[in-house]
Amino acid sequence: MLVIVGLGLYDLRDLSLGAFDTLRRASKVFVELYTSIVPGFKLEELERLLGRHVEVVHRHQLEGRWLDELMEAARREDVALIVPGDPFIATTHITIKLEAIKRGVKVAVYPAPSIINAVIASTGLQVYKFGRPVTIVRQSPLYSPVTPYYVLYENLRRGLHTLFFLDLDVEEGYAMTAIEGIEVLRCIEEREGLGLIDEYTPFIAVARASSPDEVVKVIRLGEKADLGPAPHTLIVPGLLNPVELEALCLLAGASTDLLSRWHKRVRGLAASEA
Amino acid sequence: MVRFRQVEEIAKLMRNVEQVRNIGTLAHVDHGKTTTTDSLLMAAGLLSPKVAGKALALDYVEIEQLRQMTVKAANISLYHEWRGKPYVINLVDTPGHVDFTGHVTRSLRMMDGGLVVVDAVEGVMTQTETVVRQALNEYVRPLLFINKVDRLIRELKLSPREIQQRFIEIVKEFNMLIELYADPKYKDAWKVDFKRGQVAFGSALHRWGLTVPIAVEKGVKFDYIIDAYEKGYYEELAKDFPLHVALLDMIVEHVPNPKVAQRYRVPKLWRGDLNSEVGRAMLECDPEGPTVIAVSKVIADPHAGFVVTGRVFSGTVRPGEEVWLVNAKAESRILQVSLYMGPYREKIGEVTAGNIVAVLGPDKARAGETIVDINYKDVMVPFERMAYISEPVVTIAIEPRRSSDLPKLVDALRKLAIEDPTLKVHINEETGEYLISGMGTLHLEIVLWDLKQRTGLDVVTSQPIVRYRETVRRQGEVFEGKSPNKHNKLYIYVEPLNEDTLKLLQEGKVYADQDWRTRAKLLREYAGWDSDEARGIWDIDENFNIFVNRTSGVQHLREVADTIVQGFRWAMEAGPLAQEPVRGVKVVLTDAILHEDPAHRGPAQIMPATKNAIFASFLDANPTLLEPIMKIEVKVPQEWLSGVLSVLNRHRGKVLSLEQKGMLMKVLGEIPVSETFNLADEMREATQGRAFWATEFARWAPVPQSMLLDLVMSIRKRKGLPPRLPKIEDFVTL
Repeated sequence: MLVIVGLGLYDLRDLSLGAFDTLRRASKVFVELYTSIVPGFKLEELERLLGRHVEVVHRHQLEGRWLDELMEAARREDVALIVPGDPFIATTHITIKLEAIKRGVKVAVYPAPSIINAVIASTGLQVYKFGRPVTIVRQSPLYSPVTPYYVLYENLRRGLHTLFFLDLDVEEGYAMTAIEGIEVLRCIEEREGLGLIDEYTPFIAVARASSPDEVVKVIRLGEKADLGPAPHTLIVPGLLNPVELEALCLLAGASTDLLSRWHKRVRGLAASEA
Repeated sequence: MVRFRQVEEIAKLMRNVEQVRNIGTLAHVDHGKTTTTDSLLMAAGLLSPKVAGKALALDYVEIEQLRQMTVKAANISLYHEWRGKPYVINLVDTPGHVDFTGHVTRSLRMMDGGLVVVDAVEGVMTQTETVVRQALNEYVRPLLFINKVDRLIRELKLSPREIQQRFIEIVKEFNMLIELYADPKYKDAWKVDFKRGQVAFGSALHRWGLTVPIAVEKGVKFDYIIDAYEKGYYEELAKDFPLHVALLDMIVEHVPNPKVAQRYRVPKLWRGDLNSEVGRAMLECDPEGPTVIAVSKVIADPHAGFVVTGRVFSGTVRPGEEVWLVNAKAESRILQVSLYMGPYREKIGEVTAGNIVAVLGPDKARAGETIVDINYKDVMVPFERMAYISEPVVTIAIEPRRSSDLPKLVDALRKLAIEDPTLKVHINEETGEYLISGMGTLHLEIVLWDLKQRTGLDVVTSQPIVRYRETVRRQGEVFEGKSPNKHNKLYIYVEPLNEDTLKLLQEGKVYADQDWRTRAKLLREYAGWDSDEARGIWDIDENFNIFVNRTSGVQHLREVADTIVQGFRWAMEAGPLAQEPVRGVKVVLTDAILHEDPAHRGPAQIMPATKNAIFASFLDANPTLLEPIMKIEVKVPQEWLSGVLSVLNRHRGKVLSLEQKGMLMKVLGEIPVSETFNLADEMREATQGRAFWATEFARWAPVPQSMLLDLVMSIRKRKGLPPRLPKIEDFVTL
């Protein structure tokens, strides 16, 4: 059997007891650490708690021929793969599960906290009001997608919040910060010019969501903010109800002025489309 | 201060375009182009009469002297008086060896007339034909100089009558080339005629030359010349009938001045709007028009930086002018303006339209660049790309003997590649080796020599390796290429490009950053393309492969277009058979499925998906290797013919024609490059050194089927690849 286990957001204590139990009984345990940063995770600690060796696997293995080995092992015995956050939210690992099913290998899944539920707790924004999430990707001459900007546009037209995942290349040591994310959106604004991003656009930055040193802060374009190390996340709110408004002021130090001004703009955008 | 006065005189004359001529010398190797050029140099007073003929002033790189041929085009402005009127003649020296036709082609844009030097004994040879054809392609009028007449007298001991007969034969062959290759408009006007002084003959070595009108005027007969050689006073000939006078008279009279020439050449060389301001200025060769320079050559000078040489088609070039480099898309400033006096550059205040200039400042310019007045940066259409006839076919690996010299070597190689667009320098990513590729073994030998002269570096090189190409012979099935995360799927097939398309690509008529409408029209009309397909071209790489998008309505496709193209280029750089470059393949994208989120359809996902689908379809499309084939021409006395034929036979050579030419047999044939490394020795041995022969790149041809597998395996082994043929399943799941 292949057991796919979510690691959660901060450290080993995000593992469920059920997951922990299964990991102890599995004959092989692998962990991938490239899809997100788990700030409090220590491999030695995991190995000590499980009392066994845990092997770190890389992208080229999981996305390459190594997957065959994993599947063959899972056919004979219980093999566990640990994945940061929730194993299937904002990853492409569903293909691993499908591959196993296609090969007749049983699969068990242990979900875990994901950034999506964490930011809801951190910001007070309500789950009913989020639109599509999207990743802001580093701009390069070869690849500079404008999708995040248009996803924001579509969401705003419907009055919905936009959660931005920020580009990450753990194996290369790169993690986009909230400030960089805003800068990328500003660059796209310059090219596409729909007038979404300026110094009156409120960005809710969440750094190290659900960690003891989590930071939640509303920042504006050009503002300097010390958010501490990665991982960061960004949200641009859509229309806000009174509870959300209160939450943002209390939890993220937002100014009512900025938010009500923005609220009007989003309303205008939605109305102009209607 | 002779030189100073002449620079000033020349500068003044240049402003009067009716008194300017732009010419170059063209020839088969060893027919005496450099000695001829030196005779002309003498006329400019730069070399004493004694030195010319020996010093080979244009060959200022030592190796060129050693090999008796000019490797790099140099330029010189000469002063000549004809019928009491002064003229300035801008002389572009072009290389004599066919390995460097890239240089020749670029030089041709600079000149309006070409002095074709033909050895009186050997006559019109393969490369004579090549250079005449290239010149006519660019609307350069060829004139004829029959050189080495001394050999007819001293070696062959021909009578005046036989000499005359020989001349008539050469002129006939020469005019045949014009008949064959000239634009119908110029076919008759450009054929050369003895009586009208369009043919010169003489000896560049002994510095004498005549045309029929000069001979008539001076009342000299051939008996006199023969007598001079027989009695040993031939040195007098140079005083009585100086070669430069015969040649320069002929040039002044029969080569059109730049103003006349640009009127018919600009429409041929430049594809912009002739009625635009720039177009009209170039047609009129207007010194008051916007500055336009077509760059033919860039030399890295250790003291001055990059010296950019080119022809001023319009305007007046002055120091301080702000300019725009059209291809490099860069702003720049002209820092210094100069003209060439042989190997020396002389500073000058300005150079006007119709002349050749050397400037310092635009360091980003490369051979083929178009430089224009900054005010015209948004409207300027660059000169059409030069059509390269040859592609690099031989590679060697190079490393410094001391590894600490590596940066120096890399720097020098980089500069060489800038100066010589036919030289390619690349790094083998796996081994870290530096590889240089060129047009033939000789080309690379010369590059190495040049490198040593410049840097003094001690380098180690590998055996020359033939560069093969990979291609396909039929259309492959559509295959699904998956990204590593399996969320993106690209559907692709490949097929061979047809001959007509390859021809358009080779001639530079169809290229990557061309207006798509023009391109689609050309492909439709001349290569039988379907209109939708022709409009869907996303990319054309330098090895003549084309990527076509035939999808419709695929979401997010635009956003990943560049990465798909990058994946295509990656696949084309090293094909699936043996990681040799791919050539002549059309890659067609028929459909695509892309992940919702941009993080999961990045280059690391899309590039492998593209490559995998291409390789799978490639292997399905009856793939093969192409090998470079040289054209070979041998002239040999009858009794040694069988030796030549057996050498060719041993080396997979093919005889295309055999012809009796006086006492010689002329063999025309083809031979694979891989068989030519020892040819010189074998040919000498088989004919006791009696064969004149030359080779030149002809075409790419599939290797014989019986050799394919072994060849693929041996290349794979050399490159350290797994010793088995790749299978379709290696790239896609079936």
